[in-house]
Amino acid sequence: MNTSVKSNERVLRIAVGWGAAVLLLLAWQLATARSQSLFFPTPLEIFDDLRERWFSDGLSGGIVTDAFFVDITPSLERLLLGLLIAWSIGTTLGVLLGRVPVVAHTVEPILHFMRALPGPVLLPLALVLVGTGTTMRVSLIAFGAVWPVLFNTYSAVRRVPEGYVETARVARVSRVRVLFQVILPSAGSGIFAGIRISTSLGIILLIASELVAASDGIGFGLTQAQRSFQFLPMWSFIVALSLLGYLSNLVLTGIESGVLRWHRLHMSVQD
Amino acid sequence: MSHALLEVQDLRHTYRTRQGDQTVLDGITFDVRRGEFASIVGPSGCGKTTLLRTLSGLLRPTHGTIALSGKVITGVPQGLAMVFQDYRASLFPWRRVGANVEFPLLGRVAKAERRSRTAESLAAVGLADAADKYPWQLSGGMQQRVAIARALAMRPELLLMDEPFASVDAQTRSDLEDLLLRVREQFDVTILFVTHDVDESVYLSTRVLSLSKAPTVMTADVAVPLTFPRDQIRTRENPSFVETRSEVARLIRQASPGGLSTADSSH
Repeated sequence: MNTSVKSNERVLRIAVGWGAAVLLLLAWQLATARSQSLFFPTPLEIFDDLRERWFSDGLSGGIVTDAFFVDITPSLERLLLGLLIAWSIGTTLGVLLGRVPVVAHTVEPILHFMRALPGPVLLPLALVLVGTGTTMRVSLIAFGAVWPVLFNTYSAVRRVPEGYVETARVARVSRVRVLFQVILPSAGSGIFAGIRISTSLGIILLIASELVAASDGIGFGLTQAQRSFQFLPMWSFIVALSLLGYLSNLVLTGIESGVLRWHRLHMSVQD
Repeated sequence: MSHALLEVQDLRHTYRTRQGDQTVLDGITFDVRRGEFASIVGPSGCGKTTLLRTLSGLLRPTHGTIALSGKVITGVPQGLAMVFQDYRASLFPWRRVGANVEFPLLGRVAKAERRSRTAESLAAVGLADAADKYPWQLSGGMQQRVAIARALAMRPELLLMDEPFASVDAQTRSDLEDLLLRVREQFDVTILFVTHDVDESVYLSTRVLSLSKAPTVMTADVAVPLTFPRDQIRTRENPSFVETRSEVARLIRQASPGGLSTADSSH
């Protein structure tokens, strides 16, 4: 009975959430339909433009248009590559900092100094150093998105109960296995929190990097549309961005709930 | 000449702190022979934890040697398992009970053997049905049984136990004590059991060693003249039990001059 009450609550919560979203869209539609302003097309118009621009079968006959490969795909590649670099460097360094005191003492002040730099500030420097290509955008994303992963991993690794590590050591488990089968699982939820934050940061940095010296991507498309007074496409790019954020969060949540299923169950037992 | 299973020779340990050197172990010598159930009792802060950490190879003592089966240990030795007081910080919450028990065997024992040892150990502690549960779905006493099963699955020659029953209720505690005595017979394992409870040490052991407050020395080594199997009621009313318990308690008090009064004034 308890579980059915819980699942009813869940259904209600989802219904309320989506209901509010639909209401907002409706209000948006009504407000913009009555307006003559060129700056505010209706959501239906935006949706049509979005579909036609990227998701109607183009000349190639696929499910996405050629424009999709100019506007969207380059951004996805940059984001994914930048985030993967940020995640691998962030977790590796975070584990090192958390487990090797000498490393922590040596580099922690430097890291805090570097973290204080907002990512977009480095844009001019990155332009000079690595040019205007994909490398510049990827390294900017990686640099800006590495910090939340690094510091979250660091603190999560430090919070791993020493009892876990000692249990493994008394069982004469190798260092590699202690890392992969004790420390990383135990620090998993903290690391994932860092990965989520880094992803939303990554999207911001992606757009910032595409505002300068770019020839494709969402950020480029957005500024192009705005500069040429094409407000409908401009809105489409904005919606595409929010969809990107929403979908990446959805994917991360899916992976997290698979990998850290035990953690969610454990937490629900504790309260 | 045959060696004792565990030989501890003049063990000393000093921690270097900002307040200066702090000697915790001040020359401890004892042997544990194969098949013994030896308990170590002592007041809190007597360096029991430091002693166990050095015995398990987690901590290198500043002086003295420890030999297991005649071999002087330099790190964590083979043939040793340990059960910690805090099962919550020792069982992995992301592994199911069976996977926790199997954990120390991974990469060392073939899969079929791992499975059979896991099943056997879990059955021995009465948790054959709990293999697919998570540890945190079990009660405290059951979790400590999982920790015991994991230690048994390693087939240790020497089982170190650090106040393993200190954080469970009284009834569970007696059940766990009897369970421990049963699996000791079944797995033919030598046990070194640390506790602060004199009654528990006499009830379980063949021999009780007592420690003084830090800087810690060995203050007593008393053989327990009781036979197995033991019984929570009959053994505890046996005159030999009562006598041995009093003897151990008296030795502990003598070893710390002034007894309780010094303990109080030190706070």
